[in-house]
Amino acid sequence: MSLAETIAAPEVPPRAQDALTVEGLTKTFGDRRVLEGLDLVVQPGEFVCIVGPSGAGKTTLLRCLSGLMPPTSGTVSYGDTRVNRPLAEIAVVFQDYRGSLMPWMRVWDNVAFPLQSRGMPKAERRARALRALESVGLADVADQYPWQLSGGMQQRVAIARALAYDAPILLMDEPFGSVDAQTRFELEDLILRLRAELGLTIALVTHDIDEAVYLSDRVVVVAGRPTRVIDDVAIDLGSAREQIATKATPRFGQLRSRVMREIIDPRYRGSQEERND
Amino acid sequence: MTLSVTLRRTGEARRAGSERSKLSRVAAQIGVIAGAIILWEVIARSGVLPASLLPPFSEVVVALVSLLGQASFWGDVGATLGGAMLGLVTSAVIAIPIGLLAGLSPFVERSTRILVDIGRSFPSIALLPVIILFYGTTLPTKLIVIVLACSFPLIVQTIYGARGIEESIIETARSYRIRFRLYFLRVALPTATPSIMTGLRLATTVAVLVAVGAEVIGGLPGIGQGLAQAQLDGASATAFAYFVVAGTLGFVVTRLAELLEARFLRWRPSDND
Amino acid sequence: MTDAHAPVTASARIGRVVTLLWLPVVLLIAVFWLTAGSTNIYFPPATTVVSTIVDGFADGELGAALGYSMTNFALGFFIAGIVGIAGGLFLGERPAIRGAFEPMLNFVRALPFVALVPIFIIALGISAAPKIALIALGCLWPVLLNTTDGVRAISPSILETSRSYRVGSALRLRRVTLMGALPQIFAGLRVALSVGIVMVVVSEMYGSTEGIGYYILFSAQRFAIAETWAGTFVLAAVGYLLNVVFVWIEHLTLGWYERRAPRVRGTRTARSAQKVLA
Repeated sequence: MSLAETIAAPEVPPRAQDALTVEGLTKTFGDRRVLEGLDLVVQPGEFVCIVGPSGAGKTTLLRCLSGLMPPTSGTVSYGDTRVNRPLAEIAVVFQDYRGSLMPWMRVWDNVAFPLQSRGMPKAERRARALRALESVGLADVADQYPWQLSGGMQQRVAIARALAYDAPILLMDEPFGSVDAQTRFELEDLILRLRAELGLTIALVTHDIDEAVYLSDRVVVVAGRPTRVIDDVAIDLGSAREQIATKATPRFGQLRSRVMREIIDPRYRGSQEERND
Repeated sequence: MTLSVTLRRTGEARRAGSERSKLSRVAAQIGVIAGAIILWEVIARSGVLPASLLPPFSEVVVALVSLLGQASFWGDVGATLGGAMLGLVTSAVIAIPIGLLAGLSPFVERSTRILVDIGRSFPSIALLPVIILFYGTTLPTKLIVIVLACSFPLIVQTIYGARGIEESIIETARSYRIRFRLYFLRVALPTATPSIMTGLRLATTVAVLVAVGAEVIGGLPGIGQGLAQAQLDGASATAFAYFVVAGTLGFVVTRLAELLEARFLRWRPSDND
Repeated sequence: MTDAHAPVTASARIGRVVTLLWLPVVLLIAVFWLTAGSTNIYFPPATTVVSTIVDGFADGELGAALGYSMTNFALGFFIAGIVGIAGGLFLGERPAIRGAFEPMLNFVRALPFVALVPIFIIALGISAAPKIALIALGCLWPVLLNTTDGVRAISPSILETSRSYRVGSALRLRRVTLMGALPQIFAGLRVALSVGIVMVVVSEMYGSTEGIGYYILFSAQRFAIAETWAGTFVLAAVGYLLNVVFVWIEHLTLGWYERRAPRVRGTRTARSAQKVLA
């Protein structure tokens, strides 16, 4: 996986039939309001990054999006279906791979485990798991245990698991936060490539602004206490991305600065020149 | 404890909320205990089980109260407690030095490993008939069995504590050429102390248990014998009362050991693994 | 710990085995030598004890005694294991119920079930059933409490991951909860093993006409000293063997747990690192 690889635009149609819609999402814990009236739409085939400062309730937002946590008020829907419990159409990749891969199962078993719940026979599960592992480049470690792999490889296993689940929508909670910088670039390109090949719709939560701008079609900036949507920035960097070239363009710098200013001072919203409506 | 009725600030609301849930948790706990007691009473009186196996709770309470007024009962408690404590202390004096030696010297540890494993897996109470052959049914018999039963877990725990010294600390000590005595007192012993305290706590429970067991089999004076005698006389409520006393004794002694363990650890703030 | 840096050569391995065995072997030889030709009634020659053991097995007496004890133990242990693990899994997954039962369980865990031996045997007789009940009762609590703790110790994010992938509750229980709690379950079973053996011995010494405990007691009572020692040694050997087998089974089942990178304790890191690298 060379760093200087250009990843082309998606050629396949998006798998998702419907949009993931969030309307007026509010989440309160006891008397502490974490999320306030969030509105957000992820269209089929889009790659949306949700950026915000640490502790801004981004993980809470992702939990509500995935159906792991019910909102206090407001709705999350996939098309007409209300998301108030985990759906088969949504797969989640968590931040801490150590807490999400099961150390007593081998790599392929971890990847295939959600399929076992669907009653799939073992041979078929293993075949699916191997295909998913191949698409993340880990087919040769299928029979090892997760703790025998490096951090980046473990996160790739988690991604493979989400792929084997065969869901049209992928939610990711700071998935590259626990790995070193070099590995992070490789994983970012991996995600872009998978999205292009499989027509995935992705919502990725991160605090890394560069990553958000590099990866996405749209960046949703959330900040404040309680957390609100500050801005929804369309990323017009073209559909092909490359780690060095894309990040060197002036437009990348502009978008990045805009997002950064909004995060630092949530009351600031991009100036007329920076906005691109 | 008052629940604030007027909720002026959100802080008060939160505190009231957690007070409410704590109250409901305690209520549930009381409910479970009360339910168990009621179940006990009902089953005992229903005749499903023989009366001598499970006397009703109410009768046990009565028997317990009457026991508390008898001098012989307190003599029994003293015999059990005294034997357990004496055995525990003796065992500690023997076991801790051995454990420290084994913990600090890998050669000693490996040499004694099989012996310690055998000792640990052996039910010391089974030696009672053999020891009675030598000493009859007297206090030394009980003590020997208690000492044996407590020593092996204590040795294991001490070894564990003494071995747990980080390699980096060992190497630092060596590079500064710290003399062994100083190293032992200021490094090895403090590091091993938490595990030793855990071992003592475990040994305390074992000591009471083995004391009672020895009294039951060997006919030695103590709670175990009081219990067995009462049951033989058909006073099963009294026997059960003795059982409850034995349990309470074990519980109290273990709690005290836990508190001592915690207090001892507080004096050594450097331990934070 | 020099252990971690020792090269795993053949001579090092032999050296390790020698270190493990020399003291027990020396002591064994010493016992045989010191008691040879002994006329002390309390300490017959070790050779006599050995021949008594052989005879005991040859005429079936020791074998029958052991068989009785081990059968009862196995049944009681098995029952306690099933109930304890099932109950522990149930309680572990329901913190509200567990919290309600906690004080009572803490009290029951401190009860010396050996003290129930006279009560049970006098009330129910000297047959096998009361003994099995006693063994099961004694073994139950360590298994139950350790299983509960084991379930609690499972990282919440693992359970959340299962939930996000819509894993059904039966599958989750079997492949996640049970597996995650397994190390702690084994710890509880190990404690139950030693408690169970004590219950076997005490119940057989208090009221029984069969079993290894009875064999030892009865031999002592009729001053058959060699038989008393014989029974004691057989019991020690069986107890040790049970532990060895148990540790071996634990090692087979929990291989994944032992080899993964631990988060505490320097010595284990060194040992585990050696195992992974070797």
